[in-house]
Amino acid sequence: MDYRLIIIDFYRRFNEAFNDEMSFVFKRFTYHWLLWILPLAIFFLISSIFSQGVLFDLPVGYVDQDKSALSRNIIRDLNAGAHAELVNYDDSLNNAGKALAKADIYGLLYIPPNFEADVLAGRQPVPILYYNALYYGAGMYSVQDYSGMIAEFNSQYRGKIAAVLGMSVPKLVNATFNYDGLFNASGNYLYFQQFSAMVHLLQLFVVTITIHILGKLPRRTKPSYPFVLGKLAPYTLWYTMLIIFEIALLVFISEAHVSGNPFAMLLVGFFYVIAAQSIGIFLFSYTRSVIDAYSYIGLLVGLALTYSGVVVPELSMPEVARIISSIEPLTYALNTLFDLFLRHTDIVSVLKTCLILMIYPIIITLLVRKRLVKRLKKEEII
Amino acid sequence: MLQMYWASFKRILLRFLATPKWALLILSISLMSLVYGNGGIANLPIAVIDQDHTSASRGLMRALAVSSKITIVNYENVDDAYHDINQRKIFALVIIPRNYEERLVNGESVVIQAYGDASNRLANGQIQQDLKTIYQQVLSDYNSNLLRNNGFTDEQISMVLLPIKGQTDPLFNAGISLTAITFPGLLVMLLQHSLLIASTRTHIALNSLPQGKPAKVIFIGSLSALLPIWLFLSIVLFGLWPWILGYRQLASLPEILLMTLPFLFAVMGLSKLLTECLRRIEMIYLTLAFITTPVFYLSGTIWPLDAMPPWVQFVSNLLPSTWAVNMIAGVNQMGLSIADNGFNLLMLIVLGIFYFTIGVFISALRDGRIRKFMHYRHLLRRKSARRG
Repeated sequence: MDYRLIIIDFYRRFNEAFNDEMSFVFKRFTYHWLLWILPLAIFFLISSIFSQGVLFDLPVGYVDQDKSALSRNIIRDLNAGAHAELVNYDDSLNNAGKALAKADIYGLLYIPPNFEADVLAGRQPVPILYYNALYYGAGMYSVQDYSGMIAEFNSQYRGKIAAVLGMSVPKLVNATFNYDGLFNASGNYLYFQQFSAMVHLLQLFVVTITIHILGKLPRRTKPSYPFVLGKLAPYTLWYTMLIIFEIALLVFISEAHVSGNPFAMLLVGFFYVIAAQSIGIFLFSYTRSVIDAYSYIGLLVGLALTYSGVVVPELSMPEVARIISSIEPLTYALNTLFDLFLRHTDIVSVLKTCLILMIYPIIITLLVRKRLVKRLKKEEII
Repeated sequence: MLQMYWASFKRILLRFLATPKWALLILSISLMSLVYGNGGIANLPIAVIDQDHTSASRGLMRALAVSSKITIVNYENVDDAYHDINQRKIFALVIIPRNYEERLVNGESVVIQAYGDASNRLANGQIQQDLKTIYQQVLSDYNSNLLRNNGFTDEQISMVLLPIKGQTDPLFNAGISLTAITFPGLLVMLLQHSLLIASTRTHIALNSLPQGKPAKVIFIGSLSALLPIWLFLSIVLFGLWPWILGYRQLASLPEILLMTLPFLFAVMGLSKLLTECLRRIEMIYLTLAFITTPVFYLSGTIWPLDAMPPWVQFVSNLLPSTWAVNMIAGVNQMGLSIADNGFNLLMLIVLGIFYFTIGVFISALRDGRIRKFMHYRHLLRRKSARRG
């Protein structure tokens, strides 16, 4: 068998299919819609949602039943902090509680009656800062300045209390606990939420367009490897460039620093798109119509996002969930792209990810090699 | 008329029951729930580098090990720990410095440095809070001993150390379960998404029947057949699911139905508008499938609405899910009454009517009914002008 001829024939047929696809790639609105209008519209919507990046000045209600100099100082200092903006609810704890449950405010500071007098008399009053732990992000940020501020007030009043007791305070432990964030020191939500949404949505777009392209092929088509590859190749290149373009936009908008090699991102993006395309081929091959195939995308890709570690870190997942997570292409692509963006990674782990992502097309090719031929000959059932 | 309504209602309901694609929603949520099997953050490996090797440093490590959220892993040097945090093998690292005990005893300043993986904000925030609380307790114990050795009684120690007993108290989500944080918004969004697709698909299928558009009563009968299924789904999602996953569920069955009904009405109104805009079944999937993630973010559960730019807040307020999340989470998880949610209910009804009206208008415009109407009015005017 002359391998040279096989390769030339493969290339010729691939090239024909590629050029054929290229000739009408931007001639229909659906293609514009899926290739750039919707991806970019969603990109700008998500970046606008998280445009503030970090949560500051979150509304926190207060009910001051003491109205003393000390209680006013506490309110003033909390308001002066970066995270909370205080809203007066007078004495209506009930109204403030409802506002907290309606998410009109995310925290509620309650200062009890006789607060200052109780402090000076050593009766240890308890001002409570309630926060909405269901709207956890906002709730947690709104109380961040509180414990440090109370510790300051306590150190101010310690000597006075000891003097009332007729004692002097010995030198206490002077130790602090510093907790810093790695890989996203500013705590900017854009970096992870938008980044993961972008990578996740790209998979969704690639799977959808793959099904759309295969569904549009004429039924008389004689499918072959070079033909299918040639038909899909323009989209492989397009979506690889799109993910790089979106990452570049994100970097530009948020003025982030990319710690890894951008060319490595291109490589991971390319293999990620191929893995997503093979999922599209799989769905198309094993469903009776493109509409059926589309209806499974949501299930498949929703699971990919859940298991990718965006909400629950993989280290905290139960064993079964970790196994599912480890078979999702999104997990690998997202982790490696994020490593290249903000963490540190080497070429070996980039290549490892590319190899893992290549497993998907190989396995799926083996699974669908006969099925796809039959499916392409079938009429669409809607 | 009633017979036609009933026949179309029955036909669509039986069709949906015979091919229960809507049950994919339950399958999808079941699989998603697996991730939350541990309830939230649990046993995250945290590296501790003890550079002091004294009883004080070991005491601190023992105190950290008590937390259920973390598992302590001993590391000898910072480089190895940093390498492993970068490789996602550990989540955070705590460095107990040399001379930690000596500095504590001498009252000299000492800093315990910790680093967490801030790429995951929710998990990192919880670990930060947990570690800080444990450390405060350790310090308080240490200071208590110091004061006791200086002749203070236990009561006096408490008074001197904490003249103000400041507390932070998490409400509506005891133990900070990640499930409770994510699911109320997610379930509303998925319910909206599934109904939007089913309703728009039914609408388009009816619009494109070979014998032409059916009578209005058949439209109403067919679309109202979706309600029993989605009401059933709402009971499963808002009544049963919190119980399965172990987070707070307070609303009674009638309350759940009362909240869901206007929400479904608003979503069906939106689907009428989408039907007129999309017009092809394939376009539903080529459009709606992509907006689930932004819609989830827009609901305000993960990122507060106050922190979004005004135009995004406006878009968010146009979505039925935004009002429904606020209402259903308020009643089902935070103990509000239906009466407290009058505005949310009103907004859902207003949105439903608004979308439906625009949908009908676009449909009339496309079918040429508006043109005919304008033409007819024009003729009437000319006629009356001639008479005049």
